[in-house]
Amino acid sequence: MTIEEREGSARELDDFEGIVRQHRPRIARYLMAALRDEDAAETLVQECMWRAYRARASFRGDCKVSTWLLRIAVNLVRDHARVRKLKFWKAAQVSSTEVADVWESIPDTASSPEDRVMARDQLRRVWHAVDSLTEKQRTVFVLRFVEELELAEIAETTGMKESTVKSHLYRALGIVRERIGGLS
Amino acid sequence: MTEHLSERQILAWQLKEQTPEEQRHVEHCRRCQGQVASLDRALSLYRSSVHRWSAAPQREPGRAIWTTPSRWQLWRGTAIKWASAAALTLAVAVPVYTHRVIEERNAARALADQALLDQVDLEVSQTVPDTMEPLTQLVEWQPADTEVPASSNKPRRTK
Repeated sequence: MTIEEREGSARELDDFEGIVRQHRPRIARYLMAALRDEDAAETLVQECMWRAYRARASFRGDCKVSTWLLRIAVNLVRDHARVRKLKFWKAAQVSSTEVADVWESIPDTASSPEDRVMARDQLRRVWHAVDSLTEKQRTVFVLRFVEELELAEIAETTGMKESTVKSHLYRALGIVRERIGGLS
Repeated sequence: MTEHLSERQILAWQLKEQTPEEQRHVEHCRRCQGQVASLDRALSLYRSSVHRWSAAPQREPGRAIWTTPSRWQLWRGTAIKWASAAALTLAVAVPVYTHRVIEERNAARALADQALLDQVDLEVSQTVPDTMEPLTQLVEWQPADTEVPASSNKPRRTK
């Protein structure tokens, strides 16, 4: 990034409400996909914005604001995952019912009822597959296939090497493909 | 390229890492087209489902997405941390201090008890009370090893 771009990114934070308005949907989307829990995602969105607000003075514009915010969100998910390793939290996970609604509401683009049933089944399998991924695999998978970030951006966001990101992506994709029955 | 895409090549397609040769093969191979399209469709369905799901809560009317925190809210976290640290310090320091005070009190009590015992020992070991002490100068006590009849347990007047 050039000095002008850096200064531009840092200046962007002056209008924090505008930042929230612009980037909140993406952060919320990432957190919901990564956590599969609407309540937890909502809490972490707030926490993410809160942390960003408090740390805004230390933001030097080395990366895009969206990358910076996503990095905070990725760290929050990591911390959340550590806590959730306790069985108690696993038992308290409420995502199953919420996620079930997701694949029930397939947009009416399928050509026939049979196609819709198949699409619903496929979507359910993908959600289950994503659910079974490790935290790192899920993070890179969501950033790539939901947020459509490039490998370099994922590496910058997660702090992993690009080769590591690619390795996690291949594994995650392999699992998803296996679960949807795509392996010949 | 006559062989079908391998598992790795199908996955690489999703990362846009296919070679021109693989691209040409897929254009002409219905089987590989199907394999690639199936995974592509599944990922697309997943992406749109996440987008729909995450968009839902933001449709709630009148919901503030951000309120600039007050100065107190900003410092509240720090204040809570300091208060917790102070409480922890007290929780450790108070029992230590109390334990030391109790030990000192016990030591002082032990000293006082010892002094009292010493005083009692001293008084018990006295042969006669203080007020009768001058009288002992006037009488001669029998030596301890001579047998004296019980009835004659009286001091003899000295000559």
